[in-house]
Amino acid sequence: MTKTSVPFFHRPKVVPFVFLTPFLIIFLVFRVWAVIQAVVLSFQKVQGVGSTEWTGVGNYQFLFNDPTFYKALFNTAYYTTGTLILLIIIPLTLAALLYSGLVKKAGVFRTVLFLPVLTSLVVVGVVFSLILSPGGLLNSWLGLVGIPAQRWLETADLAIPAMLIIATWRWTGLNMIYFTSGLANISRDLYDAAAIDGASGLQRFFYITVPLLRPIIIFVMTLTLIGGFQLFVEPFILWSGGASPGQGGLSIVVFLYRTAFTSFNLGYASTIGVVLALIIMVLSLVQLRLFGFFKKEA
Amino acid sequence: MDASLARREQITELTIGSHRWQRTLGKVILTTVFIALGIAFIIPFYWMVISSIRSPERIFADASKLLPTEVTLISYQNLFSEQNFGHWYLNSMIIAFGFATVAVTLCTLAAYPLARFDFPFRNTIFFTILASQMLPFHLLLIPLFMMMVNFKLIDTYLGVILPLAAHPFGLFYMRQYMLSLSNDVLDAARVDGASEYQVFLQVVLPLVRPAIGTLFILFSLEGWNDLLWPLIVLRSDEKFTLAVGIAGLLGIYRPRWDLVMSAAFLATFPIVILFLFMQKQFVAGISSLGTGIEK
Repeated sequence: MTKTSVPFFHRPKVVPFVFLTPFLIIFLVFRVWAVIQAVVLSFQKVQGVGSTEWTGVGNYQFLFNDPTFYKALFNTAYYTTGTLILLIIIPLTLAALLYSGLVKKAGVFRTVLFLPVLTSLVVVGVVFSLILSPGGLLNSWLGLVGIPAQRWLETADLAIPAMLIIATWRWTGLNMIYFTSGLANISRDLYDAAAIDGASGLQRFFYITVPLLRPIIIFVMTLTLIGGFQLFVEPFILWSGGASPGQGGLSIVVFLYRTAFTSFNLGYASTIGVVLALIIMVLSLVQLRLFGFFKKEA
Repeated sequence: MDASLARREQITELTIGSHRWQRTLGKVILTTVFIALGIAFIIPFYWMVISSIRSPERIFADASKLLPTEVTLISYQNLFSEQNFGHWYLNSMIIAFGFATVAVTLCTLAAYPLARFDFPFRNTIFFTILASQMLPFHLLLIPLFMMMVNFKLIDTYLGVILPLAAHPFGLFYMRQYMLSLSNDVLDAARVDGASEYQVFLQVVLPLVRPAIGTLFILFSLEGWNDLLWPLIVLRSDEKFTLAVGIAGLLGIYRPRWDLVMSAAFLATFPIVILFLFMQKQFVAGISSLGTGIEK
């Protein structure tokens, strides 16, 4: 069979691209082109769709002098740092305990702890509005152990702690699954050998489990970091539209959303988006480097 | 604090495994701790249910009471009589399944050549798509919104579904799965004279069915739960999804907490039931993402 006799769509050089084309079209239009547009818009003043004016780095200058941006950045960084601690330590500990065989019906507990992952963040927000309300369940339980009632959602300084409580409930089960799948890949022999050498449970956890789970821990940390900086739905629901007291729950994305769809300042909102993307990319790379993720490949 | 320390020491001792009774005691203590934890995790679900059957004016007043003073289904009645709740439900289903169908199709098609063919720019294409996962969706929000206006896709299902359908994670997952297929089966079909398209349809697709199922579940969940993008695209009340509708009930001057709680319950309940039936696929999908990065 000569090459020319092969129909166009069956040529070896064409076939892969036939499969790729639908994905690539959507990808190029709605991601690549959108990213380019976002960068272009970030240098413009846009009042509504259609009327644009080139302002150079004006938006960026304004952003770096905008106290609201720094407030949002601080809140978001605070929240993300909190989740990086809580959502690694708690799920890792729980996953290891459930995997140890010391807990009966471990599968049932894994299921129960996973259920919050299924819920819409909108639903999470409304349920916790009740639980965290002044006369709500959390305060009444804290009262049992002698902690005075807090106005969780009406106090600026408690906004992020409140959202960290919610995040722990919502995401623990998901990160546990990642860690459990990692644990399943660690050879039992290592633990047996360590036990024979007299290593305690804790020693085995810190000298076998944690080092061997390192790639998964880094992966989960990266996801948590990226997710943390994209905080939006929780503050949007908890303080209808994200108008939290003293801007205590103002996240970067809420700031972006309000700039775009309350003030209709689409250019400035794009600037916020570009800066957010840069922050996330730089921090993810720094984090991956810090934990030596690139060394392994080299 | 003391309790958890004691618990840790308990485990330490136990896992050395000297005395059987110590091991048993440790198991009992740990199981008790996990039962308490489990209850704490179930409570918000219980609160959803219990608040939805309280009389509307008692929802906040009784917010710390474990049992309702009186049970009423008035919230559910009002939800259906005052709001377009039936529409919201249907819209959420259309968008969840529509999104999952389009996204899974695109990902499965594109993953095949990326996993099984050698062609120029293969790795460049794959890693560019993968790297784009790192970009926050919010960067794209404004340009996508303007595109929707220009394409006249505002307030349409397609406008909600299409922009997010080229899903980098879905592609990664599918490619990972297809890499594990054996070459022999595919080559056997080729020797028998099957074209590449027949190989894909008749050999590859049946083999990757579990992965398709998993992705479909994960994408449906994503479509069902998403708020931000549908909030921006959808404008008219009868086009709203559940998430947008519920958020809307809070946005008006007097939040309708009674309606919100019953809507929240009805939006969550079927997902939880489905999960309990298809737990394996859910969990398999998520774990394979975690272990995938090790390879």
